[in-house]
Amino acid sequence: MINDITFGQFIDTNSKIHKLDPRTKLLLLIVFIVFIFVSNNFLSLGLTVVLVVAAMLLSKIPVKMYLRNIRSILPIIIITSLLNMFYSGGGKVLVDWWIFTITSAGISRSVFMTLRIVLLILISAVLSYTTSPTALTGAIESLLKPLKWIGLGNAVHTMAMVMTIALRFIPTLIEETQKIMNAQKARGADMETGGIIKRVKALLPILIPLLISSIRRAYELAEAMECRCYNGGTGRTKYKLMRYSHRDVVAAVVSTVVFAGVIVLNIYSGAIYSLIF
Amino acid sequence: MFIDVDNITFEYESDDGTTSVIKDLTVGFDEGQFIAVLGHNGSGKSTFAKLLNGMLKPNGGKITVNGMDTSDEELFIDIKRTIGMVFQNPDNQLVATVVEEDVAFGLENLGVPHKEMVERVDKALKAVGMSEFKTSAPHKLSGGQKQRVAIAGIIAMEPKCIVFDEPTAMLDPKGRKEVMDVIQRLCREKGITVILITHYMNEAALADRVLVMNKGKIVLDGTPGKVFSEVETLKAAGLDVPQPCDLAFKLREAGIDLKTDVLSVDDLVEAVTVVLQEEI
Amino acid sequence: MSQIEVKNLVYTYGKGTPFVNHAVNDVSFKANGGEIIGIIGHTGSGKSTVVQHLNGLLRPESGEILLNGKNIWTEYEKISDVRFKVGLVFQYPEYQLFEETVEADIAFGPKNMGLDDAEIKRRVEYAARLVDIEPELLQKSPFDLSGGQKRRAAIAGIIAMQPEVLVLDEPTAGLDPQGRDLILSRIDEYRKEQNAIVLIVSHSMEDMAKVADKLLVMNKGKVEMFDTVCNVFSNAERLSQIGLDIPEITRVAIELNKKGYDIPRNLFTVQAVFESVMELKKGRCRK
Repeated sequence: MINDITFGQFIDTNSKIHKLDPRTKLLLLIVFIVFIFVSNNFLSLGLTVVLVVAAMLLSKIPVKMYLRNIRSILPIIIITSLLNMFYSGGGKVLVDWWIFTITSAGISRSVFMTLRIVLLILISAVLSYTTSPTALTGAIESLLKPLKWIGLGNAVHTMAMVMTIALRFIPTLIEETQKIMNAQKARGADMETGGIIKRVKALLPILIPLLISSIRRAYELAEAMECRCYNGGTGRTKYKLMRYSHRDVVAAVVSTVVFAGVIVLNIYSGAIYSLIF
Repeated sequence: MFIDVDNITFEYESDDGTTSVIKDLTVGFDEGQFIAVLGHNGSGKSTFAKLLNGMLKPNGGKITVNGMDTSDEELFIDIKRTIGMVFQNPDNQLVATVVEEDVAFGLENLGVPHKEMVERVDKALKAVGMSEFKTSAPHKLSGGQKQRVAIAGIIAMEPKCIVFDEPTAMLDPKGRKEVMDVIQRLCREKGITVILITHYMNEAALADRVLVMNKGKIVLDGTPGKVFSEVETLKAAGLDVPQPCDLAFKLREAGIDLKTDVLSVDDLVEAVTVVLQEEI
Repeated sequence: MSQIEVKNLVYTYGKGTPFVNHAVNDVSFKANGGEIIGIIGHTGSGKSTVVQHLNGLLRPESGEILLNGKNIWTEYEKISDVRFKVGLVFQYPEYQLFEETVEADIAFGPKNMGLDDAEIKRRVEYAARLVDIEPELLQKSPFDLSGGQKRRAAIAGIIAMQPEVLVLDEPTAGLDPQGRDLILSRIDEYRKEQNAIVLIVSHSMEDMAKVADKLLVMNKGKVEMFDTVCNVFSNAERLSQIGLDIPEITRVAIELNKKGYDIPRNLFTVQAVFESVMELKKGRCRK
């Protein structure tokens, strides 16, 4: 049913990853992205893979759910891997046909780039599966707090408020859209056939009522907020407190160690390869 | 007098000229009472509600709440803290994505310390019977439940008075009952002054005092028993009369002398039984 | 004469997910032209699901919807024609208004039907007159109307399609007594003029006692009762068991009856109870 749509992908399995402070998770996401781009060979990237897979397993979210994320952007993955395969030179020529040349370096590069993209998606999915949008909003607001020293305190609060209200009203508006669509269908509105102009026109009977209702909601909400003494961000206290715990320390230490590992492997990869082969 | 409405008028300008919504209205409310304000749509009752807590300012006259003039901008926060307001559409007054955070919203605005805030949120949710939904998302709740969360958000701020602007108009019978039960408890158990704007007569019958508004004026003011016996004035004000009151009126018209005020089915059955037994 | 029949309708929400919910289970009933049927039941009793099947917004999982004896889904591609024959007015229909003028908004349905301009104009005028929208309002923006007017304009948008079956989901929700009475009387007028079938989903027993001929009482996705208003209200105990109210005036009759007075238990108008009480009173006086 339409009411069950929740914005974001949060699935509460109450795992160790869920229990991390959202700020830690948000910062670690940035760190992981840096890992992925800094890794310049299979060994260091492999270390990142280990960490990402560990995070996925710790999240207790079914692997199926992660695969679903990858499937949704499969076309992009395929295109990048093909482009990389055909347009990177060097190495042994494996296939040479018409304008296509596939070299060993091309394949290796293609696999490397694809792995990077997949890792990026997986690690972002770990964050969105384990952190509610509300917690994320809180984390962003908290992390941006230092901006108040340059006079942007109210801007940060306003942005967080806007995000919260958006999250609160997205399910309501989805439900409302469905209702209006049904109502216009009952008046014979046809949204499924015809050319592009006809279809865009067919959207008006849905978009206009939706817009008007949103404005009305906004107005009423503003009144209700005023009645609850809302007066911007100044002098506010917070109900949801965020506290770092030992888990956050563990996550940070593990990540730092791995990051060091990535850098070491980046520098000494040549030496390690020659040792093995 | 806790709330003193002194000869107020309210008008607004539009393309069609000046429309007068409230005319020379004077009334006073005591603390701790349950007051119902009845009237058809356009009778000025919702405007009256918004004037009471300073959302609108009267063009003439003066409203004092607990000694504070509602037109005084300096007292904006204090007036809102004294008179809370619950609106018709339960969806459009919930701000946060989690019930408990929504209830805390007003307290956050007032800068209440965290520890006290947690206690007050718990207490407010308990008062409306919504404790078990503390961590739910508002959009998963029924209309009646959402409205109770909205009420919790107001009572957490510990106002002396709450104005309810047609709080049950968008609810089904179950939700309507849930919300009316909470409203009654707030007044009877917590001593909060309740001003209920409605056009449901059955809800008004629960009040201590009923005002009937028509064309921006108060046309009836008294106990439910007294007001509901004025069947003709009520109908002229575009209102229904509860069926038992309507029947009592008809019987009286036909010369049957019902001894007592009739507000409910039980009252009527009682009164009719007395009359029928007399003859034997 | 028009006829709509629902036969063994079954519909499940969230099939194949953990949230399986039998919204409607084996629902059957029949309605004929000129009848007003009140559909009552709790939120979640399946009322809205049934209603959305009548014009093909939902497709039955099993069972049939027969309009004048013909299954509406036999010609799948003609389902939009069914929507013109079975007009469905949703709850708070004023939220679907979107055109620049009231006239254009009422004309939206007839236009989608592919009628010619003269016929569209005739229908818009007919519908506006029927719901009591004055001609001078037709050129106004629908958003400038009052609440009650908006509601009526939106209903006119369906009436302009001149459906054989008019279905309304809580048409009086949120209106004051005057607005409510006006809308109910306009719906009744349409029934009379077009000999249409009218189905009204409502929470208000008092309203239904005023306008309906028959009541369809739904409970937990099934038909609990389908009978005349009089017969349904005489089952007061069962109605209150499934958490539905009966009109207050019917309760007065029942209470007096319980006390041993000779009053029928199934009266549902103030006038009827008044007459019975007066009758009793006279009887007593004679004794």
